Amino acid sequence: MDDNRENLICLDIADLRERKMPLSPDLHSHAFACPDCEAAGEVDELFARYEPLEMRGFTRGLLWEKIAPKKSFWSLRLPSYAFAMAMTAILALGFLLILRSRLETNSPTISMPATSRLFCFAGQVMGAVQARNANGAWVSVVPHARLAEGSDVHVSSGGVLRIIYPGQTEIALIGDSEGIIREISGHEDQANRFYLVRGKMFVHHRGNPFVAETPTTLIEAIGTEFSVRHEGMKTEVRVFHGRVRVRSGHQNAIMNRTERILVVPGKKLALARFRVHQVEPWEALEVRRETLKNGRWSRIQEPRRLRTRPPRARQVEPVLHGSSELVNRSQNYSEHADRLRVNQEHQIQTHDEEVHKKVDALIKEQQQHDEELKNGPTH
Amino acid sequence: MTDQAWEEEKLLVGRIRNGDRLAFEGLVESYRSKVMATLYNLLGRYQEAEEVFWDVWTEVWKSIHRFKGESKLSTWIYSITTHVAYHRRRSRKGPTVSLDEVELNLPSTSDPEREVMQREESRMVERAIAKLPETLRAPLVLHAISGLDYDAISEILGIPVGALKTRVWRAKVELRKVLQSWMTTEKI
Repeated sequence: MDDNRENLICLDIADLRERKMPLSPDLHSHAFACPDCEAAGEVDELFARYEPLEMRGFTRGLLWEKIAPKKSFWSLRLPSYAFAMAMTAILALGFLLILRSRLETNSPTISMPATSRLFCFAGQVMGAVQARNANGAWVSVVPHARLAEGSDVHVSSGGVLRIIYPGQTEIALIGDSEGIIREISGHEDQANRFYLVRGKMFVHHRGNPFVAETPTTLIEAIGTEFSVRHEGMKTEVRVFHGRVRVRSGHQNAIMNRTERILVVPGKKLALARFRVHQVEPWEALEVRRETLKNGRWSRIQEPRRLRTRPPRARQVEPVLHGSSELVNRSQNYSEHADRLRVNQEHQIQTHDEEVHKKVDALIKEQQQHDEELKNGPTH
Repeated sequence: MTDQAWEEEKLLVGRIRNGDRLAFEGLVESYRSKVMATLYNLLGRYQEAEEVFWDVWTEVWKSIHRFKGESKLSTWIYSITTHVAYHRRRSRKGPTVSLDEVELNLPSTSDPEREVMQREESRMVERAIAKLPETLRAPLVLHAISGLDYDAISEILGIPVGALKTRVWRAKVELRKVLQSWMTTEKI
């Protein structure tokens, strides 16, 4: 208790000394007698004489060098993600420039590059279907054959060739037709292109943009199914589903479902309507997956017997390289191709009568259209 | 603190916030000796004090926009000084040069003998402070060397003023004992 009281007195004395106030006689006598108060007083005197350290080598220049050093460009500590993004952007730009230069150097004419990395596949093949190789020789196309960019294809009368592009766009060349697989898209923004030299084609567009061309017309698919027919200088386009944009010279038209257009050089584009079920070749061949019932499209189950998938190739599959060059790298190829042909013929033979009737109806329809095209457009 | 001093301080802070380097140099000039002495006595090692001295002023330069003026500028600067020193003590690695090994350049005075005496006395006080326990050292250094009042120290260390006074008084008594023991040894 006494110690606490003593301490309190000592603290009071220290407080008064710090404030440089006079001590009362009692406190003065205590400070004189108390060794702690005396010690504190001596230390206060020491601190009064205390000289703080003078810092060595302090200059204003050094101050700013330490506090805000001038940073050179290379010493900047960029955040890693910003650096990574910048590098990615630079690489992407370089890639785009290279891609652009490559696209620009492509010849605008229908060329057959010696090698091509892009392929589309032959799906269903009916009748005699041939592709021309780099040597100018026509070779047979079998299901699952790879058709390179620039390949010429020819479908003889009564034959059908389904071509499946990357992005799942399917086209069918029907009857006496000839065309060129002009461009195969390697990117989802790039259009697949097919150049119809003559004859008729049907397009079921999915995924990547698709452009069908004839010598006089450019038909751009806008999520659709359509057919293109080109005879002489006349091109007929029929839209079964969705829309297409047709361009011919300076003329431009957007077609909707069940509309057809006849493009004749020097004449205005003439739009007309047609009845879908009469002419749709895809449905007649039962290869499409939708049907028009009561004015609505509905998905149907594809008849199993009509699935044209051949037995899976266990050997090297036939490859149509570059300009339709059929490369037979495997000794087993001819056997494999024969087996596929037999299978295909068997498939055709076992086709039921109903489908045959539909095909006949389609051929008749085509003949009618031939006459119609020769006689000019009908409204 | 008078109103005029308060206004001047506010003006100074405003200039530094606007990037006035001359104003900042003036601030450093007026505080650097005491800040260095505070760091030296808190850390007990000159080399470390010299290193963290720049950290203190870098922090002041960068954080001046956060100074709200609720306390005095000196309190804020010594608060940064104390925290930087504490942080340094916590992250100490390996041996460093002790204050005994350092030659200190003091300003020369007209009386060389008095100069030597004062220097020795001051260095002795510093060595004695280094012997004090941590709980007593910081209050004593901030009070006796930095020259802060008890309210400011209380704000920095988070210790009530009453307890702070007791600690400072006890620190002085302990310091005297340490110095007394050294003097006795020297006499022997």
